[in-house]
Amino acid sequence: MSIRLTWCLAALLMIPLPLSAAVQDETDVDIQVREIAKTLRCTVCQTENIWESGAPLAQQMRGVIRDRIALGHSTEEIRAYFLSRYGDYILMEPPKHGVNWLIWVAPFLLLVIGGFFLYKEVTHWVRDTPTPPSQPEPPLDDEARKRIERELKS
Amino acid sequence: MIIEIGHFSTIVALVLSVFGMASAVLALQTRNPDWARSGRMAITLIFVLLGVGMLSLVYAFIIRDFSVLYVANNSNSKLPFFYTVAAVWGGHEGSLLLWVFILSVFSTLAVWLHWRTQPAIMPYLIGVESAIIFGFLCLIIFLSSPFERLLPVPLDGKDLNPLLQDPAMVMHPPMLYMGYVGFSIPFSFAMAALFSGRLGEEWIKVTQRWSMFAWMCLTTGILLGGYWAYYELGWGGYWGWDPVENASFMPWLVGTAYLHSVLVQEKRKMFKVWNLFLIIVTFSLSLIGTFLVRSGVLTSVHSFATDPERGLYILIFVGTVIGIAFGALILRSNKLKSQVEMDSLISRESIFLFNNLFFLVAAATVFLGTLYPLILETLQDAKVTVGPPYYNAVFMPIALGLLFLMGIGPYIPWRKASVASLKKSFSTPLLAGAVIVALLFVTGIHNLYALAGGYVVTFAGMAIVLDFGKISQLYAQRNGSNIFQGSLAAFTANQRRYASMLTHIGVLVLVVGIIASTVYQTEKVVSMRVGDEFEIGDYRMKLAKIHEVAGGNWNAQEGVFQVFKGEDLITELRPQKRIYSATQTPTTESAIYATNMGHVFLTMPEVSEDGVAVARGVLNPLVLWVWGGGVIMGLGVILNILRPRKKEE
Repeated sequence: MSIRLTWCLAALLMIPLPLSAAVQDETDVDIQVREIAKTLRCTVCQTENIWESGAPLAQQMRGVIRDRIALGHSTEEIRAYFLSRYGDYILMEPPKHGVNWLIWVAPFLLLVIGGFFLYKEVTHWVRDTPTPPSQPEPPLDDEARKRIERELKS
Repeated sequence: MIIEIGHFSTIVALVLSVFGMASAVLALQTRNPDWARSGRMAITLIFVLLGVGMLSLVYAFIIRDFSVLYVANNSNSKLPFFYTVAAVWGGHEGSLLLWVFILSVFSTLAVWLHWRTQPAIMPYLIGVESAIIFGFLCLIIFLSSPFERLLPVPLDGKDLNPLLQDPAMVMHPPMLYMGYVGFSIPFSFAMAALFSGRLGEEWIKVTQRWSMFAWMCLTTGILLGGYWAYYELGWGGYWGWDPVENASFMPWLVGTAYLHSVLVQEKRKMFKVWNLFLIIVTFSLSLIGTFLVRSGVLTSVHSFATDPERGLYILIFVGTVIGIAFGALILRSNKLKSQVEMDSLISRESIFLFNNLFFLVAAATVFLGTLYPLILETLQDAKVTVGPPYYNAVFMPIALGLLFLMGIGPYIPWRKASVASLKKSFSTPLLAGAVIVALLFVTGIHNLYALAGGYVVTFAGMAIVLDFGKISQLYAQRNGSNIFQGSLAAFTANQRRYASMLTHIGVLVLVVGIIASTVYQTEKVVSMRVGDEFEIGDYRMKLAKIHEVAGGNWNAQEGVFQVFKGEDLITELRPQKRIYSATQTPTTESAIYATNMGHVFLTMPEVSEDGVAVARGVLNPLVLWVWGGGVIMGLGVILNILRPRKKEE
């Protein structure tokens, strides 16, 4: 193959063919936009983030994120920008400071406190209940058989 | 004219509900059974009259009578017939009417079904049901009427919200309401027990099937709502922890706790106050859920102020119901002190208590999360959002705990479990869980939720399978039949237990679906022209063309995407970007290809004028298990309700 032909082929490969199928893919910027957008609330929707929302405002806000990434801002800087403009409301979850801690720990606090009281109560009841005469535990198969008899009878 | 007939019969129903209450009181005072009988007639007539009210509204929608304000707001000359009927419950007013109509159907059924066996309870049942009907009808007639006329008559209606023009949305509200309203029957029987002082196990046994039916409807309603959100909202998810979803989830959580807790009272005659408390809370949450969903209060406290009359009425009504119910409970509490006998902390009774604790904490979490923004706004004038990241973080541990208890509860004996029996029942499931976690880890699944979920699901599933397998084998041996006949014999011999276990299996399937489709969801959004393609997972999507299509009341740009796997063309997906003509509202219609129990989900949210389309592809592995699990749960409940009655029941 002549050198000229090789060059021609190489050049041909470099020209994007206008009608052939171009494989589109997400760029790093797209992925970054999504990551940020998923953490911010669409302020005109009911608890939807601006990634999932179809509202025009959400679309504009996604545009703002993209512009800021183009300007070289980091994810944290962009989130901080939205936070400074809209306040805590813009975040998808209550920021963990001040009184908000209450709702972050409440479920686990309830579980622990409830569990503790339940444990105390149950052990208290157990203590107050006269113990039935202890019987040796029958082997399992007998027990299961009895269960069958009972179920068959009923 | 027809709508006035409906209006009038609804007013007569209101009057009859007052009569129903009065006849209940008189029946109790005079002990004359005729009063109870006329109360029964009142309830039955209310059902007929509200039926007329519903039909008149349906008729107004069918003939598209835009002189009726509610029809003008929720329909349009081009709205397809199918949706004109569903539009009856497309707005606040109509859905309230549907609610009270379903209530009248259930009340009538309950009064006639239990008339012979529960004569002493009937006056109370009639009284309580009449009172609830009265409360709703006052709201409907005086503050929220779907029968109002509109003058001058508009040329056309404003149209039903396009998002609601969907088959799942046709069925979702009635199912949900049947769930809410269904709980009113056990609630009424509980009130009857409190007022009459017959505080035994009777009311629980009588209403056991009602409760299960209500629970099944509520579950179905919630899952249908999820399915609607999934393919109509177009972001590929089915649950957004939205206040409206939460409002239906709270009664579900407490109702589920109730269904379990009553078993303890049936078997061991304990926790009477607790069960009454649970059913009161369940029904109260149902009421709150109904009212708050469409009144907009949940979005902001300010929307409450725009319609203060309705809001105030709702507050007073719900407050009255809750106040009376809890007041009666407190007044009776000294009579309700049941002797609690507990032999051990390690027993089924005790597991049920912890099950209840987890369910209630779960409900309290949702309640707090839903109301927290309102509370903060009122107290500090600060606004925050409590969204999915919050719930996912706090709810997951609670849910995993519940699933773990689900593996223990049914297999731990009543009263006291010995160490030996615990070992026998649970060592294999515990081990199986560990094996599965190891396997998942080796196959590259390292997500903590997926691993923890895998463990508890395997544990609980294995406990069910082992127990049922053992019993089936014993039956097979005894009857000299094979294992399949043995399992059938075992199932029918104790249908209540094993139908419940089937429901549990449904829950496990659902949980696997949720975890897989949440943790392993893949998403890709690209801009493309006709001829371009993009890859997602193993699939390649080629945009073959974009063309215009039109429905009866919408126009759409439809993208035709060829879906390839390797070199094979496997299907074509046609997502649409619709514009509904009447309101000029855009919607995105998703296109779904189901494969391997999962979904390839595609939407086309934007098409620019120069022909660049934005395509959003989502792979949701095992997402069909979410609804498949729901179907299994429902099947379990149906088999449970239809079980042959035993002598003691």
